[in-house]
Amino acid sequence: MRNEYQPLKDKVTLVTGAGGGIGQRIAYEFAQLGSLVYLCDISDTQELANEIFEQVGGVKPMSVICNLSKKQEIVEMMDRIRQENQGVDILVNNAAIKGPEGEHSFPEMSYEGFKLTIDIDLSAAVYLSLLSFPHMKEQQWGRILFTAAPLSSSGIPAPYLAGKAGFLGLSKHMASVGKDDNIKTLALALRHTQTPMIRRVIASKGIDVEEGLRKMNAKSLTGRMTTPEEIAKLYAYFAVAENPEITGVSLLSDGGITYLR
Amino acid sequence: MYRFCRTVELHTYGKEVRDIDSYFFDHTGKKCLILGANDFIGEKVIGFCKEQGIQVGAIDLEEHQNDRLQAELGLDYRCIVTGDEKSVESVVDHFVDRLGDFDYIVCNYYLDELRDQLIKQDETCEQWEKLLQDWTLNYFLLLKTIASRFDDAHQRRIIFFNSARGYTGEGEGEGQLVEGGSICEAACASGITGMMTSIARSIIPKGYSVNGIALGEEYKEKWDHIEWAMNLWLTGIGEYSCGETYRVY
Repeated sequence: MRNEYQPLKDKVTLVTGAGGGIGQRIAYEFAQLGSLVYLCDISDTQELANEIFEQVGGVKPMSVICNLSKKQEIVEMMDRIRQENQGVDILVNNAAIKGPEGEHSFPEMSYEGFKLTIDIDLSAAVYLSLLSFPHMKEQQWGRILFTAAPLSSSGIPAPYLAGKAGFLGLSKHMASVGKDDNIKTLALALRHTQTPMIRRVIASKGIDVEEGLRKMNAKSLTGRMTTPEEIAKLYAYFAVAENPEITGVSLLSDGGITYLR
Repeated sequence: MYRFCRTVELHTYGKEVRDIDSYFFDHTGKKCLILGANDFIGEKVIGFCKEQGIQVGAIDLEEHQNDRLQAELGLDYRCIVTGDEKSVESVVDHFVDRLGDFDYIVCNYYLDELRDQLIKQDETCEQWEKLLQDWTLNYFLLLKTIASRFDDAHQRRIIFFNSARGYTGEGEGEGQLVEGGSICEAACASGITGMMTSIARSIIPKGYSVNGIALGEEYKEKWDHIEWAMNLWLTGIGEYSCGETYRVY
């Protein structure tokens, strides 16, 4: 059933990493609020687009395959969106890879591996923000959201953390340059989230997944991990906020792990 | 160790909703206790509660007693003697009898009055002692009294109103101080941040959520921003933030 509450009607949202986990839920949430959502992923998201349309109705989401490590593919994707729908109103920089295959520790990590991770985790967001900005400015409305991480995250490969930290600076700067054009930014600093990826990460370490999850839950003061639904709702709550001063926000959403444990 | 795992009920897909409030939250039937009812923020919070169908218990300091709140707003309004444990316990017990358990607890202090006073006169040791008692100790006493009354798994959400002129935590990319202010305000506000994070650490595992809103300059002109932040913390949308301070400045 379609909502009557459609604050994002006529808005175009681009979600990177939309194929699963957090990105998928963000896509559902923004579609539910009336937005046309482009589901950007390295894999085909057509099936997901159909599912979302079936569940929430409204405007059918669009699948777009893009390898975010390749600048040319990003440019082509943005050209396509411009041709089809003038441009992106809401950009959700969500995609990330944890790090290159193989050795993660410093200095053993390869330069190529470092570069690839930075390209996907940070450079893609910079290109997308730059390419989205003119349309947002013209429309006098834009939202740029960043799925970031706390800077004190331990045990995380250097390029991943560099990308996430870069989001915080990028978000602050975009908020500053977009403040007179109703272009607002939010960076949400997350730790563990209940996604298939977290299960894969635990399994890759040769640890029993349920036991690993139990230990990770116990790290949070709340005794649980955050969920993609929770994150998507927070993004939506921010995106529909009208007050021009609600911008440049860097919100730590970590279950107290960073500073309270 | 006992942990209270909250379930997140945020799915709205496939449900028909009509406006922002019903899409994101529903406060109807909730119960709120507010400390510091008789200033701009206090009255705004009370107005917000009335508008949203939240029952309110209002607490104020004796010296601020103002029958207008009771008479005009029909509030259940009680005063405490500042820093007096027995007085706080008696007022909390009154509201427990009257309202039952609380869903929201809002701790507010009279920043406007404080700033006005400290601009007009040089700061003294006596002012510091009074501020510490009226602000920090009363927050502490209220929350200690409530937390010791209830040991069940009811979800209670607490907001600490604070000043952005003090240190307000290590939130990502945040933590900067707003210029201006006084020694007393900066030190007390910073202390509130420390106290809040410590209290958060103790009671979040019991089902509470604890977060802050720090007010900068001209906050009276920013009520809708403050209200947005209140909803972020009170509704559960920002629940996974623990001991975070949202700055309005």
